[in-house]
Amino acid sequence: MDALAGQALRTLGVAYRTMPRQLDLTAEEIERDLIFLGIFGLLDPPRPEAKAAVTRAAQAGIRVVMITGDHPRTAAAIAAELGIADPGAHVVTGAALHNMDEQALARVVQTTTVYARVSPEQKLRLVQALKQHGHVVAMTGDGVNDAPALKQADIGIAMGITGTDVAKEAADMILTDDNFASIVAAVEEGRGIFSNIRKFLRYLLSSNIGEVLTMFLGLLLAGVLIGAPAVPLLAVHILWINLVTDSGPALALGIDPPAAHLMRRPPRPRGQGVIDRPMWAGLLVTGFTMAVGTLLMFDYALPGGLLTGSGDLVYARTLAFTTLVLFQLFNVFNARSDHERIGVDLFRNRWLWGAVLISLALQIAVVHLPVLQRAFQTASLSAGDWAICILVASSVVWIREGMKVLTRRFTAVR
Amino acid sequence: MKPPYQETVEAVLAELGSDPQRGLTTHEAEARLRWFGPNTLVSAPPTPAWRRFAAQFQNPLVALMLVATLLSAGIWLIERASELPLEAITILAILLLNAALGFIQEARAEQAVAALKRMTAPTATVMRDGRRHRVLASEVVPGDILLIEEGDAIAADGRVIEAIGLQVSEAALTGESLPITKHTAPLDEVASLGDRRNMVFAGTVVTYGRGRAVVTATGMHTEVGQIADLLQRAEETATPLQAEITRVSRALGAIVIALAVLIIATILLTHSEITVQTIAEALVIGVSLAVAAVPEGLAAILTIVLALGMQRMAQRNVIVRRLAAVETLGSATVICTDKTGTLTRNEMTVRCLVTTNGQVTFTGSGYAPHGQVLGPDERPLGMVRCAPRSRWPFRRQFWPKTASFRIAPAAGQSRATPPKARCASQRPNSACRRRRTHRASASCPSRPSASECPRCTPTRITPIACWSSSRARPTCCSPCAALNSAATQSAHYLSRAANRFWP
Repeated sequence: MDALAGQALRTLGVAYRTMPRQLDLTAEEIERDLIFLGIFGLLDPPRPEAKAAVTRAAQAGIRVVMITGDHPRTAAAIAAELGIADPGAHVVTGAALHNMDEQALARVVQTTTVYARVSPEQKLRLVQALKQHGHVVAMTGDGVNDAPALKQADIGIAMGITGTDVAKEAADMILTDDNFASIVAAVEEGRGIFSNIRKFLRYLLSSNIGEVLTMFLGLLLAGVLIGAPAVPLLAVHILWINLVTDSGPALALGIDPPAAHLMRRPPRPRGQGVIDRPMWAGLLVTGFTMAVGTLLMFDYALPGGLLTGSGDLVYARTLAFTTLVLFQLFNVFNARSDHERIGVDLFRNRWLWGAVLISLALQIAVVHLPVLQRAFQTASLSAGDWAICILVASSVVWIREGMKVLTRRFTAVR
Repeated sequence: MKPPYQETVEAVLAELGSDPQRGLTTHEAEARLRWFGPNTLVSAPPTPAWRRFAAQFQNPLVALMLVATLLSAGIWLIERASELPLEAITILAILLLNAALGFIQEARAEQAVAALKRMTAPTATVMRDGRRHRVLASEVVPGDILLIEEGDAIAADGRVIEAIGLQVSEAALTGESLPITKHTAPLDEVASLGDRRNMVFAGTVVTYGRGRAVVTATGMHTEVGQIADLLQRAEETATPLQAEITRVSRALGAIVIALAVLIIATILLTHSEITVQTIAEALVIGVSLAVAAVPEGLAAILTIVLALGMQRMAQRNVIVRRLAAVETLGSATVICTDKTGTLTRNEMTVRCLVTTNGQVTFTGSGYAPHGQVLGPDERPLGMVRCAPRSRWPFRRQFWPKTASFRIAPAAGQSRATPPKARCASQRPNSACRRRRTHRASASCPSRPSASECPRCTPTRITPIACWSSSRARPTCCSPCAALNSAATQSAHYLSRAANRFWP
């Protein structure tokens, strides 16, 4: 019996007795003269997917802490089986927690991953202690008494099946299948969404920076380029880019499938803004590249300036406008990361390619359809013009790729 | 007419035309729902579509754009360079197109979020047609018999007709922080809200015990409905991310407005003669610059992406109630989790069995009736399969009167089982019963000879008592049912061991 209990099994004895056909017996009368048969060892088995989820959480730099009202030995056995704690790791009980002052508790929460015989009120203390250490705490709960801890946690998670209304009301998230693996899946989705938001921010903001620089430098250098103050782009062109050709690809970036490496990185530090330094650097370089390329095309079409051409202002604007749109369509693929090479998962997001093709078709329509030509003050471009635009616009990819290589080298050296 | 808390339970029930055991009929409940309306607090009426469309233009940038449109229309009026103010028309067209797209997308995102919210809509358990029904809280009507227990949020006001240790926290309604014990007896005098101990109120929470109440008021007629206007509706505040993005856009806008002013000034200063036309042109350039600087589509795309993300999470069994949680999740460093039911299956399963004959180990997980029996040397002794009478044969009674189990030889051992296995799975009941008869009369023509499969003979077990560390009660609580299930699952093996020892 001790051997079974040592394995954290609940025990259940079974005995039998031949009974007379008489039903009005009391429990005491039945339960005697029994012949003992043996003992069962019982266990509430871990969910098959839980172990993998714990491993994934560990890879993602997330500590999994088990807080249970169950027996310490059972808790330790399950924790060891799932990889939450090493076999023989110290289990802190609710009674021990009760006797700890805040300092002792602060030390304990740093290392302990299994708590047993813990009351819901003590969960609240644990959350507070963890938060004081700068942890971002996700906490599960289902009962009425769990509600304060769920509220206190950064992310309160209620159980959808066994959870009470009160717990659900206090929670930020609800697990519809009560499964631990779903929490880890949610973390992955959360990271994916955040990373996607960064992607379309990178995309849209570099577009804006490119446009502003084009307009500003265009006016500033008007003398050098064409000899008279003339803006390279009209307000309609910019609106068209910001609201039409940019939106599809930006949305498609927003639903990029989460990359595998997301769950192999440590969590994003709390308070770190969505736009960090490498991102700003990338935005400025991209925007500058786009402005220079667009202005060169503008200059190339017009007589005078650095490059001498023979076109009129409408033709020059059309070239500049088209180049900028194409810049953005190339930039989509840059925007997917500040570090990764462009080839990574290039074809995984079909929406992205669809959106790029639609935007391209729209731009062709604006340049070549007579109605839109009048509305947007554009002129038809020859195949050669298109080829040059594409060539110039593709520079943004090469420049950003070069920059990423340098950053990687630099960080590797450091 | 006296208020319900001064009436006896019988009087209240009679007045509401409800039966304490059977509740209302479904038909009656539907009729009452039509008459009384849904049990919801009516807050502000939904914003009409045209106003939501107009809101698309409330963005200062769009306003700026409209100014630009007016300017270019003004220039057209002065210059009359073309037949139509083309630029103005184009800007207007793009703005309208964008507003329409934004409107549609936002509506779809809102719908998706609303659909997710519906998945977590509060429910209530009521008696209808003599049966327990889990219905949406909004479908509760006066006269319904509400079943409440610990952890429930109460869906409507009701007179308590049964209270078993029932305690309710009414902090949300009265501010009283301690739970209040409820009873069924009528009160003699007029009582204030907090003293109506035989009533339960919508929006309050059962902290302990269970009970029944007959619904006396729903929707805006409830006590919480009376003060609904005073209640601050929880607004979805901007998430840190949304706030940061707004900040970035504003900063960009500010920089650019400064630039624009600079440029306009330069143009005006360098021009020798200042006419209305040059001013207008300079302004158009300035506005174009502002247009260039600000990501107009950003806010709409952000909303859509977050909504789609919530939808994707829902597919992975996680419903997000607060948008900010999506962002916080990515930076979580610790997950504190319960064990039972979350990491484990909450299904007690037999792992091993010790008899005087030795120890055997069982494999398999949860209630799934599959697994192996391993001997002391880890050698399979046989498979455990059970052919229960119904899906949950052990729920109804403490022990099943009889349960048929058999251990089939493991693969590789002699005596094939397939015919028996099929027989058991197709018609477990009759098949097992028949074979039991066969065993009694050793030679039966329909059955293969006993020697062909002696291990397949089902065994009848009538367990008599069980004991465990937590003394099992003869009720149907689920841990007990689980224990029973697990125990019976392998009781067969035990009985065989016993048979060997005590013939």
